[in-house]
Amino acid sequence: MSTTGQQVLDLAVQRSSLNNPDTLVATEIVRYIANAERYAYLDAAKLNSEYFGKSGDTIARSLFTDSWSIFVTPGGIGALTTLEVKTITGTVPNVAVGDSITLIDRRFPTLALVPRAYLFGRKLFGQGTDLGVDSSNMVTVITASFAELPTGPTGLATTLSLPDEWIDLIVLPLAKILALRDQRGGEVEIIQGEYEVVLASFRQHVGVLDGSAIRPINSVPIRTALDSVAQ
Amino acid sequence: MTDFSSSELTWDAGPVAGDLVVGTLITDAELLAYPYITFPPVPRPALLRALGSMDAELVRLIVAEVPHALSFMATAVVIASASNATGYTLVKGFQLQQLTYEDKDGVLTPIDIVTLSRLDDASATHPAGVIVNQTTFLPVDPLGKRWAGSESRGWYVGDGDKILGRRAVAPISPGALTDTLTSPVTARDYFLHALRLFILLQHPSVPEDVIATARDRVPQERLAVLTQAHKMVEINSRFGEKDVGTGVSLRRRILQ
Repeated sequence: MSTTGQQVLDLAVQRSSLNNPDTLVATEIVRYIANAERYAYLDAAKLNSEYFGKSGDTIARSLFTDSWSIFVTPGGIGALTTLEVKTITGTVPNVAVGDSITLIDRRFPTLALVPRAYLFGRKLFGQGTDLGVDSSNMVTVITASFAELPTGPTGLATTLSLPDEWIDLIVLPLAKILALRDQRGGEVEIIQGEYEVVLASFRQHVGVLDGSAIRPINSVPIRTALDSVAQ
Repeated sequence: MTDFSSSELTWDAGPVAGDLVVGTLITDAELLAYPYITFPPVPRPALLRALGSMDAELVRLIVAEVPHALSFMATAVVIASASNATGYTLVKGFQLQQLTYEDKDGVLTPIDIVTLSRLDDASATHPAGVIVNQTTFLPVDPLGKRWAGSESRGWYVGDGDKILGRRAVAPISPGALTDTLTSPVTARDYFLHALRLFILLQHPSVPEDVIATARDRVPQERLAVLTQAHKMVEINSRFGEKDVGTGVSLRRRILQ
């Protein structure tokens, strides 16, 4: 991943001699690039959470009533997949280092066995006393595995996270915006068609990359609002 | 108050049941259901409840047909004459079996369990007793006086005599993956296929023929468990059933 935001803009501009980069301001361009990159990561997360998989530890909490702000540390979470106990202070009944923590819905705690945790307000909480009975006997650090969500560029000089071979997933939406700003509607359709081909290839790659892995037959991917958003 | 608790005779030490660990059954059943495993997987508590229900059903069937297949010796209840009127508390069990009176000299006599209406029946076959509220053993007074008065009785004297018995343990719904089921280990395949069917039914896209095959297997395995329970012990004299004995006894019968 070595492509910068500026290179993406250059590639989009160079698609047509009629493109005028001055129709967009830099901050606007950076947001368009960030959104397109994020969409690609979330699309991959829905199909295969291991494709952009990542692991990271939480901070060490000091009180057994504390939660973990996992969207800060480790941060960049697109889809949470697994949780494991990393560090324990003292002794917690039925919990040992390395144990898997079941992610539950806060409303339905009885649907999983101890130890359990739930997300609430973008923070991770232990269910009841599953992860600690007092501040001397508690789980302090959790290792979270997740599908990554890119931090996004802060400027045109930022190197993007999306692999270079799929950079057209960002270039083409930006080119479409340039064409729209220039009121070249016919060109928009052509770019959209090209984008859908690249997106299909990307999705296929996400699916087949570890397609030989032994796993249960996946349920049909859950449709989300992203499936109906026009690109 | 004393009660039945654990086994007493060494040769009967340790239950036949208790070898089926629910965590292992769940893992094996999911492997059997592969590739139709949901993601996220079926909640463990739901599978534990399903197993508990299956265990209770199977134990009821086994106890009804082959009571001795799930039967544990209980600790003797020592008779105290002062307790005869109020009775003796028993540990709750699924079925109480072979209640026997042992006198101070170790002579064993079967206790005739009668209905509550015969509690005062002095002409009953003694020793006799009544079980009330599933847990209280009321000895029948041979004098028909509900143990009032100071006359000596021939039974339930309180001189070192005891009540012996066996019971089938009531199954408890498992709450952890390390818990074990009450059913005997020979029921493993029944639980595997029944649980497999339960898992398959949660998946949204299992072919109908796979479901049908899985569904047909369950009663077959249940029948196999009951058949095995019948054949678990060689009994030469059983009403209405041919001898299941060895070739030696068969030859003897032919030659007679």
